[in-house]
Amino acid sequence: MEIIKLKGLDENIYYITSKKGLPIYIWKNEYAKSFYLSLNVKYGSIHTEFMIKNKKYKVPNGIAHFMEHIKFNVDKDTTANDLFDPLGSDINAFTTFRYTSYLVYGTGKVKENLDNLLDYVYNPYFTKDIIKKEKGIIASEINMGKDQPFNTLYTEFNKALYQKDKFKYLITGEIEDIKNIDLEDIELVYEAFYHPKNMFLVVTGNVNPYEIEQIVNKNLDSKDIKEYLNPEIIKIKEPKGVVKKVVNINKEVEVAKAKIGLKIERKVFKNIEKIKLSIILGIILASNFGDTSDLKEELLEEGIVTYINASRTIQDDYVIIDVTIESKYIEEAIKRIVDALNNLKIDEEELKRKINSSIAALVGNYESCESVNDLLQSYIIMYGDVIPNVKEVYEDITLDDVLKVMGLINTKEMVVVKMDKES
Amino acid sequence: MEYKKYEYPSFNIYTVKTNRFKTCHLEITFRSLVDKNSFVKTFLVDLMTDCSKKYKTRKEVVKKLEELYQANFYGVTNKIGKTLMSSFVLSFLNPNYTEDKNYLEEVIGLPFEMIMNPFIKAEEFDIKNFNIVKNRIHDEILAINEDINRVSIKNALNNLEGDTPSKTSIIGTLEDLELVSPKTLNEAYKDLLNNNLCDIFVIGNLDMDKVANIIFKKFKNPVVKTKKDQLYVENIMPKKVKKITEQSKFLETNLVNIYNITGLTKKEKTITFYFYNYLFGGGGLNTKLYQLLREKNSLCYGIKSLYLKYDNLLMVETSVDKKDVKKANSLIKQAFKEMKEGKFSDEELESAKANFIFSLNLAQDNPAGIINNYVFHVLDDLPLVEDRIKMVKDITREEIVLVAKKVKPMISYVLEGEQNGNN
Repeated sequence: MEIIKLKGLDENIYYITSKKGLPIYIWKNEYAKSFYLSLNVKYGSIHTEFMIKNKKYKVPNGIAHFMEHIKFNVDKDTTANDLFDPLGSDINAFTTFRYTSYLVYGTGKVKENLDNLLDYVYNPYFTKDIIKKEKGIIASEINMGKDQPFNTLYTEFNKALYQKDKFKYLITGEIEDIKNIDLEDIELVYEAFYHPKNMFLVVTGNVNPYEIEQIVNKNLDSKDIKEYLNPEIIKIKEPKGVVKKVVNINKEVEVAKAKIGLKIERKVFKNIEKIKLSIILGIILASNFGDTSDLKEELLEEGIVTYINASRTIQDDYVIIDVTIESKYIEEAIKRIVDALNNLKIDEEELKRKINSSIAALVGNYESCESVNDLLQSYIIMYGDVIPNVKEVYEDITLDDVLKVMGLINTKEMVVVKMDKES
Repeated sequence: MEYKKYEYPSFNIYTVKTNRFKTCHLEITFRSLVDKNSFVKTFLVDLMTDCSKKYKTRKEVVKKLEELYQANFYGVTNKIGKTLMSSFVLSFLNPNYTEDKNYLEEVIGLPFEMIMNPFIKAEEFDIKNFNIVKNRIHDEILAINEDINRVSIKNALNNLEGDTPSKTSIIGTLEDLELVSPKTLNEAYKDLLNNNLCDIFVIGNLDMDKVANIIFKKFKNPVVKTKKDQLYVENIMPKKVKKITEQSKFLETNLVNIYNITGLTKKEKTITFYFYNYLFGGGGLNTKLYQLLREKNSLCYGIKSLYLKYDNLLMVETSVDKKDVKKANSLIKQAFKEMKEGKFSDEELESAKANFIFSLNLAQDNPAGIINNYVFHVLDDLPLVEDRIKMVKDITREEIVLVAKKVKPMISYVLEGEQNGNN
C-alpha cells in the first residue's frame, strides 16, 4: 500500500491497485462517524463513440446516465436499495460528462456495504423490461431539467460553443435519444467500460485501509471478471471556432439571464501544468467577477445585475471560461462583462489574499468524508491522480505567473447566450 | 462531545466542544413571532451581513473574511411554525491551523461588529447597500415563479384556511418589498435588538470559557429574557378537501397534497411521526410512496413527503405527466391506507429504523448538523441525537399505525404543465 502524503495539509491518502486492477484511494478520518464509498466508472455522457479491437462503435446519447439508472436492478425482484436498506445505509449515483459514480454513505458495517456496492455494480443484470420501464422515469427527469432556466441556459451555451464535441449534448440525452437505447447498447457499454481497470474506488471515513484492500480483493476474486477490452474513445477534433457567437433564447423567465463564454485553445497556455492553470484561472475570475471585485460592486450598486458567477473548465484541447449573470438590463450587463473580459486585472495584494484564503479552505476541506471523497474523484478525473502538492502549487504562484496567464486569455472566440421573454 | 451552557441576563451561550472538526461554527439566533411584516426581518438580516459602519460594502466584508482564513459569514431567516428565527452564522478555521495569535478574538468579533454597528446614519440604513439588497430580493421573489416546485408549494399553502403563519412568506411579495425603506429597517433593527429573544451556539475544538468571555465582551444585547418561544401552529381543517387545479408554463405537472396532523403527543411529534414520515415518503428510495409511484408504476422521477412539524402538516410532492395525475393521487391514497393498516413488513420496519438512525448519525458528522440539533434541543426540548436514536429503536408497528390515523387530507393542488403523453 502506498501512502501519498498531502504536503502541508497533514493528511495522507492510502493508495493501492487491487489484484483485479481496481485502483483504490482511501482517506482515513478516525473522528468520523460515517463513511463514504464511491465506485467510479471512467465512462460519462461524452463517451458515445469508441473502438474495441479496431471495430468502431456508436451508442445513443444519454446511455451513460441510462446505465446509471438501470444498474440499480440486481435481479427481477431486487434493487440495490434492498441490499443497503437493511444495513441502514444510503445510496445514490450520478453521471457527468466524464464519469459515472455509484455512492454509498453509511455509519456501520463497512465490509457488508462495500461488498454490496461491488456486487451490484459488477452485476450485469439487464432486461428489455427494465429498459422499457426506465424510459418513462428518465423522460420525466429530462423534462424536469428543461423546466429549470439555468439548465436550459447551460445547454444552449454548450451547443453554441462546441461544433462537434460531445459536450454539446445533454448528459441525460434527449427523450428521442433514450427511445433508441436498447439491450444490446447497454450490454456493450457494460462489457467495455465497467471493468475494474476502467474504474476507481474512493473510500473516506473511519476505516482501516488494509481491511478495505482485503475486502476488495476477496470480493473481486470471487467474480468472473473478464479480460479488459481496453476500449479507446474516439477523439473528436473540435474546431477552433464557436458555433454561434450570439444566441437568443425566448423563454418565460422572470429575470433575464445570460452566459458569456470564451473558448480558448489549451495550447495557448503552453506548458503550464493543468492544476496550476486551473488555480490561476480561478483566482483571476474570482478577482474580476467575484465578491471582492470592483466590477461586481459597481454592477450591484448601479442595479445592473443581481447575480454574477464565473467559472472555468479545462478540457483536453480547450479552456472554457464563462460568466453567468441575471439582470434587468441584460444588454448593458453583457456589455460590461465583455469589457471586463477584455480588461482583466489583478494586483499583488489581491493575489496574496486569494492564495492564503484558498489554502485555508483547502485545510478546512479535510474534515468531511463527503467533500474529501468528491475532491479525490475530481482530482482523479481531471488530473489522472491525487495531487499531493496542491498547497505548494498555491504557494508557488507569483504575480508574474498570473499576469502571464491573464495576457494569454483572448476573447476571439466568444459566445453570448441570452435568455429572456423578448429575445 | 462536551455540551455546556453559559447564562447571561440577555442571552445564553450553548457550546459543544469537540476535536472532530477542523472548522468551528457560531450561530447567533434572534427569535420573534411570525407576522405579516416578517419579510422586513429577512431584508434586515440580509443587509446586516452585507455591510456595517466598519465594513461599508459586501466587498469589504468578504475581503475581511478572506483575511480571516476564508471564514464564512451569512444571515438566514427561517420560519419555525409561529416563530421567525433570524440567524447570523459564522464558520471559521480552528485557530490551531492559523499563525495569528489574536485570530479567535478577531474572527468571533466580526459578527458582533456587524450586529452592533450596522451601517446606519440619521436613523436610516445606508441607501446604497439598501438598494443592492432590495434588487437582489426583488429578483429572488421573481425567481420563485421560475421554479415549479416553489410555485406549486407556495400556491398549495396559500389555500390553507384563515390567516395562518404556515402560509406567511418570509421573503414577501413585490408589493411588500416596496414598503421596506432604510427607515423601516432601522425600526426593525431596534426591534431585533430590543424585543427578540437571543441565544448563541458555538461548536469547535475551542476553549469555550474564553469564547464565552469574548462574546460577552463584544455583545451588549439589552434584552432580558422574560418571554418564551411559541412554536406550534394549529391549522384549521377545511369543511371538505380543497381540490385546486391551475395551469402553468412548465412542461411537467406538479402535485402538492397537504394533510393536517392533529392530536399528536409530544413523543409522537418528536419521534414517531418523523419515523412514520421516513417510512412513508420522507426517507430513502424504499419509501411507500417511492415504491408505489416510481418503482412499480414509473410515474415520476421522484416523490417525497415532508413533515412540517411546527405547522402540524404533512406535505406530499411529486412531478408527473399531466395524464398521470389521477393515477398518482390514487396511489398516494393507497400508500396512506397501507400505512394506516400497518402494511409494511418487519424487514421494512427494521430497515427504515436503521436508515433513520443512519441519517441522525450523519448529521453528527458536520458542525452545522450538530448545532442544528442543539438549537432544537434548546428551543423545543428535542432530545439530543444520542437519545433520539434510542427512542427510534423502540418504536413499534402499533405506534406507527396510531399516528397514521391522525393524518387528515386538507388540500390537493395540481399545477398543470404543458407536456402530455410524450414520455
